[in-house]
Amino acid sequence: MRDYDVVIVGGGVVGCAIARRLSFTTARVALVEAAGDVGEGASKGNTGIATCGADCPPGSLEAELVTRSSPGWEALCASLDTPFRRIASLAVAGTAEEEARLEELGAGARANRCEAEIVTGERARALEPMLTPPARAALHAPGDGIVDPLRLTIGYAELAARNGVAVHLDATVTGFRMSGERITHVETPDRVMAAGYVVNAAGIESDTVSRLAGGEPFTTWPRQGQYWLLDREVGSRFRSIVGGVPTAESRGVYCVPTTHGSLLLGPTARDGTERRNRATDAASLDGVFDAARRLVPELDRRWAIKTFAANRPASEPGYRIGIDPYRANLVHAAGIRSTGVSSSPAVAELVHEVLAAAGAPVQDERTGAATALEAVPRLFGHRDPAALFAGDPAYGDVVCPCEQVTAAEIAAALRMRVPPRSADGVRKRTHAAAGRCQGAMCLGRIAGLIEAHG
Amino acid sequence: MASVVAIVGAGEAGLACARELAGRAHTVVVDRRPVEGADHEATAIRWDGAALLAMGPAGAVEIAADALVIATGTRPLGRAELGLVGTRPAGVLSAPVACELSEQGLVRPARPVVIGGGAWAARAVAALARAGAEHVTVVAPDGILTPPPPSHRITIHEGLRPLAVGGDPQVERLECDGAAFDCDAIVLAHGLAPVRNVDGAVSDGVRTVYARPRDDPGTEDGARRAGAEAARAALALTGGQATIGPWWSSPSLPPSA
Repeated sequence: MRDYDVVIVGGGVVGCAIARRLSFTTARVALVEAAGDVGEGASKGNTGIATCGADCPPGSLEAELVTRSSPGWEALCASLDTPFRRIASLAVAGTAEEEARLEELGAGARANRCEAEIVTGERARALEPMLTPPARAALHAPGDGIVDPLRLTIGYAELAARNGVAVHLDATVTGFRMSGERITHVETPDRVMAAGYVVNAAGIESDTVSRLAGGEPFTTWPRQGQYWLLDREVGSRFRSIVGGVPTAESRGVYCVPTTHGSLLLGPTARDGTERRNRATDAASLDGVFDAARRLVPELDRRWAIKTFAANRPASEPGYRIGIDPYRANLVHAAGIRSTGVSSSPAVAELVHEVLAAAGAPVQDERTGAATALEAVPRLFGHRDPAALFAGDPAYGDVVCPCEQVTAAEIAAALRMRVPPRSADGVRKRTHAAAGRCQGAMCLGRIAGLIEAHG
Repeated sequence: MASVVAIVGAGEAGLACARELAGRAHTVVVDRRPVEGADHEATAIRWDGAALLAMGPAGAVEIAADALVIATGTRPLGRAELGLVGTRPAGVLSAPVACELSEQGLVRPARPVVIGGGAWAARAVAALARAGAEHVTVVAPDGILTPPPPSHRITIHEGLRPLAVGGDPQVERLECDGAAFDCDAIVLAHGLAPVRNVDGAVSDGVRTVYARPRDDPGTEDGARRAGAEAARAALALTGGQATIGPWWSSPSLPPSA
């Protein structure tokens, strides 16, 4: 007897998106994640850009999946109680050479059927007054947006869990049992699960998962990105995402307003070997800041509230999605390098199609599956705080004054099916302690609330 | 009609500000905590130049005011503000959090490092010692301003610059220029950053005055002086009946403690 029709390995944005998609079907599904929460790898350290795909390589699977995902962001995020805003991007050319590359970028955008237009420097500054004066021209992509990648990942997982997907955390996959060409069981330290199909969405560890399963050998490696987070004192003045002109090697450094009003600068792109190394260094951070200041000279370090590093899963080729050549019931969703957030909705659809074609019992849609999470009202930016308080007096208890997060919002997070187990888990779900004092005023209280909840 | 000054913070500075304004403007004091002297227990959220919105156990409080005084005190600098690079492990705590958690028994580091030499550092060292720390290393970049309680379990390094944090997922090390310390917690207690959380008045709010105590380490007297100065500036902002004249040199403050 099978425990699960499908076991998804990896609780990042890709694995969680797949879990949500499969939760609409009659299949019995489990998600296993090595860390103590979902979204602990690349999904927690990225720019939060939901790109329309204008700068993806034309003709690639990446471009196809990103462009297919783009039109649905408003509806998807509304259903997952996740902030999203389509604020457009400007790829800014400061030199004649960059201006020439802008033409190629525009041609790529047209090939990807993305709305994008080359505008003059003057027009770019009108669209984004924060821009540097020497901008010569820019590619304006109105379809680009920003999303809260943590809330997106958690929203996917939460909806999946409501629909019956078993979410196993602290569950590192230690091995697989086989019978002939098929995987029969997934082993973790606490349980052995009989599985009909296995989806490999393990991000940077997807090569390890494939190796353990006796699947196709391939290599993933960490491409480290370092970032600055700046206060919403400056972030709220940005209207759009501002970046340079991408090169073949890297998309370069962006200034990205976040859905909470703050501003992200980054990332660097440095291939490494240490998968667990998430350390920042002064030289790289200086490089990011200098690059951002070439775009927006008035950026100042006094607005810095956080610096951090994360590793995105690099692989060659990227976007390895499909049935493994050696294991008939292993489906890879691997090598989804830097556009995992942007492509996750369509990746999930594609993995569902692959599973269905392979005979997994995922064809039938479940009746009565929840398709949306109820929105938890947030005090931050709310038009009618008095009405919030009338509905729940805990909205009067502002736990995190920087981000204006109340006890009502933290209580809602603690009641989730995929609940926070730490103050960092509360931060990911509510934004408490994510502001300018980084928790100096509230982390003690939050630890107490978690303790009291049990 | 008397002008209204909204004051955020009912500490020494905020209350001194209210006293200074007594008889010259109507004052409304809000504080996050239920403290003596505050008119509302509420967290100030937004200021639009004419009204302050705060949330508290009695609900939303909206205060129409001609000027706003921010007197919310200070906190130690955070990691990014200190320029600390490296990993972001568990166990790196701001001093207020370290004090609160060690008092609740939720953290009990054996070999913590405290960065800072001021009042927050002294308070954190005492709290960690009470929570059972075997040894506390103090790294005081600008020297010791407030000596921690004397103990053979405390080592002080003055003039060292902290540079990077090591360890992941748990903190293991603090690297400084010329030295490194193995540790199981790092407490950030260096420097003083203003606590400012009112949207619209974080750094240059319209009709906003910031009470800025200048003493380091802070004193109650210094906070009162800052509050009184803020009162004068606020009166000037309300533009009117407040003439800035010799009256404000009259000693309206109670003698310092």
